[in-house]
Amino acid sequence: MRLEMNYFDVKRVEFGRKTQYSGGLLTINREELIEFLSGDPRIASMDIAVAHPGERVRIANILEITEARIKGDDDHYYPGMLGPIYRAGEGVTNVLRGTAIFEIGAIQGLYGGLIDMADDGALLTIHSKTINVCLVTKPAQGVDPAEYGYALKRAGLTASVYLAKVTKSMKSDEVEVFDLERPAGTLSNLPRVGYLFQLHSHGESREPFIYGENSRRYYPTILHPNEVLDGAIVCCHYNISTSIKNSTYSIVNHPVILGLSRRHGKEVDFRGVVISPEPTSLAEISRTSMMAAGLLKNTLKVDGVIITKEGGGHTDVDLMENCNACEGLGIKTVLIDNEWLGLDGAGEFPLLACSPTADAIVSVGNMDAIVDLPAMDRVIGGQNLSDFVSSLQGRIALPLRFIPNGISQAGFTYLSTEIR
Amino acid sequence: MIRVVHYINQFFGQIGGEEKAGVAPKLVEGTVGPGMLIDRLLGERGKVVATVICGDNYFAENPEQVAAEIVPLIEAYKPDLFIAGPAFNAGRYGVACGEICKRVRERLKITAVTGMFPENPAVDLYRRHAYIIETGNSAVGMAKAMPKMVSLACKLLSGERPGTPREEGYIPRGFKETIVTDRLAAERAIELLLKKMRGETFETEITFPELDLVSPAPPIADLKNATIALITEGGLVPKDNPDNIESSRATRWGKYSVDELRDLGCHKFMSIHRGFDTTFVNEDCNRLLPVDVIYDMEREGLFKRTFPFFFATTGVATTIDNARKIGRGIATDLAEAGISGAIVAAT
Repeated sequence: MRLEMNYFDVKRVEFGRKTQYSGGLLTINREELIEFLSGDPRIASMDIAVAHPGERVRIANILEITEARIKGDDDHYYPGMLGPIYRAGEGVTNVLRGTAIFEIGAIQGLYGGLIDMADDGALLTIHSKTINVCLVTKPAQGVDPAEYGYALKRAGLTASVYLAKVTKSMKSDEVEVFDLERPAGTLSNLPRVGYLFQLHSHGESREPFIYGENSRRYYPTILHPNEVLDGAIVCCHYNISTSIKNSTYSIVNHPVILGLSRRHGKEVDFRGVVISPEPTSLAEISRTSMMAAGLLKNTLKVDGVIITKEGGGHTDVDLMENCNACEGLGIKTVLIDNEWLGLDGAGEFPLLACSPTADAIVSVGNMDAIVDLPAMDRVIGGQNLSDFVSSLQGRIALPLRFIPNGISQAGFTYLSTEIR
Repeated sequence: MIRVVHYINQFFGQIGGEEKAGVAPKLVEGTVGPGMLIDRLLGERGKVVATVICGDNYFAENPEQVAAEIVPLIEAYKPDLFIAGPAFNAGRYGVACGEICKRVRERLKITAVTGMFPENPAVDLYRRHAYIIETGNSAVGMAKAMPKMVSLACKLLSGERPGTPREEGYIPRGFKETIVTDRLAAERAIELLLKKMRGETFETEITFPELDLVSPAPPIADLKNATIALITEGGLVPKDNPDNIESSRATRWGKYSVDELRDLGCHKFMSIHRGFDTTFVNEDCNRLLPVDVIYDMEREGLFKRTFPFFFATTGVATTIDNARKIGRGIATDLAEAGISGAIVAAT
C-alpha cells in the first residue's frame, strides 16, 4: 500500500477574487466559499475569518479542526463521510500544509475550545503555528446540538476539499511517500512495534467515524497506518470537550503514526495500527482489550506497542485494561495520557485508573491546570466561551482543558508535567 | 543585605540533650551553632541577625500555640529569610521546623526553607508548605545540606524560578507543574518504547501512589431480617440541591428520604450529574435508584426493611481523596444505623 503525500506549503492566506494557490499564498473568495457551504437548515449563518501565527488574535468556541486535503487523482476525500467508500491510504493525496480549518460555533450543551495566536497561550498548542481558516457559524434556532455538530462536520469537510482542490495538477513543494513494503529480510533485525488507537465510543455525537460508521460498531480492527493518515477516521463527536477528543487534523497528521512510519525500516519495523472502541461496561472493555492485544501479538506480531486513549476519566480504564492485556502477552507497552491533578497540580491520583503494568507513561499535561492568558487585540468566534468565561477580550484565566491540542491525547503537544 | 532568622532546637542551640528538651523558646542575637555556617555561605550577601532556640518537647506538647508565640519573635527582627534546622531524622524537631516555616510564610510572607531526612514524619506534613532540602539522617549531613538550603533560599529571594527537586536537592513538594518541553509527546513515547524494548532503564512521566485494596464484606447471613440501604453516585438530589452537591468533582454527599423519592420522584428529585445524559433518569428516577423494585422486594419478604434514607453524591472526575471522604461519611452513618447491607447504583 503506497501513499504519496503532496505537500503544498501555505505561508499566507488572504481573501480575494478567485480561490487559488500560488507560491505559498492561498487566496480565498470568501463569498463564494460561504455560498458553497451554506444551505444547511441546521446552520443559521456563517462567516469566514483567518488568523495567522503571531497575530494578537484569540479564537473561541472551536468545536473541530481539520486540514485542506483532496485525492490527487479524484475530486473527493474522507471516504464514507464526504466521499464515496473507497480504501484510504493509496494513491496520491494533496495537502495544503500549514493551514487548519476551524469549525466554530456556540450552542448550549457543546464545549468548545480556545486558542491564542500570540504570547503565552501560543506556547500551549500547535495550532498557534497553523494559519487558521475559521468557519464562524451560528446554530439554527432550536437545533439539536448533535445535529448542529453533523452540519458543522459537513461544512468543515466540504471546505477542506474545496480549498485543497486549488492544488489540482500543480507541482507540490514536497512529496512524502508512505509505504511499509521493504525488500525481504531488511526488517528482520528491527524492533517490531505497533500502535493501539483507542477511539471514543460513548454514544450519539460522542464518537468518531471510521469509513463513515460510528466507532461503537467496530470491534478491535487492524488498519494500515496509511488509512489513518489519509482520512479513514474522522472526528464526529461534538458532545465532548474539544481538547479531550482527537480532531480530524490530529488524526490525519497523527504524530505517533507519522513518527513510527518515518522510522520504519530504519529504527523500527512498524507492523500496523489496531483501532479499538472504548465501550461503556467493564465486561466489554475486557473483551475489546483481549482482542486488541491478541491482534497485536499474533497477527501483527509486535513486541512493543504505544497506546493512546480518547476522552475523559472513564477511558483511563480502557487504557489500563489494554495495557494489562498487552503486557500480559509480553508486549512492551507505553501509554500517553493526560493527568488530573487539580488547579494547583497537587492532586495525589493523576489518573482515574491505574495498573502495576503501566510503568511507562508519557504525560501530556495536567488538564486542570489554570492558564493565564493576556489580552488579545481581536477575538474570532464570539465574546463568550460556553458557560465558562464571561468576556474574552481582556486577560482571562481558564483550565488547560479548554485549549485544543493542549493536552493532546494523540501526543500532538509539547506539554508535559514536572515534579516540583 | 539579606537578614536571616535561624531556628534550632536545644541540642543544636548548645543548651543540652534530651534532658533539656523542655526549655521554652529563647532568642539570641546573631548566630548559634550551625548558623555560623549560614553566615559563611552567605558571605557579603547577608547574615543571621537572630537565632530562635526551643526545646523539642516544649514545642511538641503544644505545637500550634508555641509556633504562634515564636512568630512575633522572628518578626521583630524584620527578616527577609527564615531558615529552620536542618532537622535530619528528628521527628519532633522536624515538626517544629515545618510548622514555624509554614506560619512564617503565611504570616510574614517571607521565604522559609528547612531541611530533613526524607523519612522524617514531618516531611509529609509540611512538604507542601515550605521547601525542604533532603538531608542525611544525622547531623553528619550538615555540611552537605546547608549549602543547598542557602542556595535555594537565595534563588527564591531573587525571584528566580527554582529548578526541579533533583537539580536543587529539595524533597518533591507534592505538586506537578505543566511545562512546555522541546519534544512532541508522541516522539517522547516512541523513544520511551524503544528504550523499554531494548531493556534499558527508562523513566515514566506519570507514577501512581499506593492504592488501598478493599475486600468485599461477607454476604448477609440473615437476609430475611436485614435492613437494606440505597446509595447512588448518580447525582440524584432534591431539585433545589439543598446540600450543594457538585455536578462533577464532588466533595460532598447528601442524605434524602426514600419515601419522598417514591412518592414524588421526578417532581421533587433530579440528577445533576455531568458525566452522562440525564434525560431518562429525570423522566423516572427509578431508572437510577430502583426504589419501586426495592419496595416490591420488601413486600415480598425478601428482606425486612428498607432504610428510610438514601445517600447521594456525584461520581464524575471525583478525586480519590474526596471519594474516600464521602465513602467514609456514608459508611459511618450506615454503621451507626445498624444497616445490614447497601446497594450502590452506579452510573
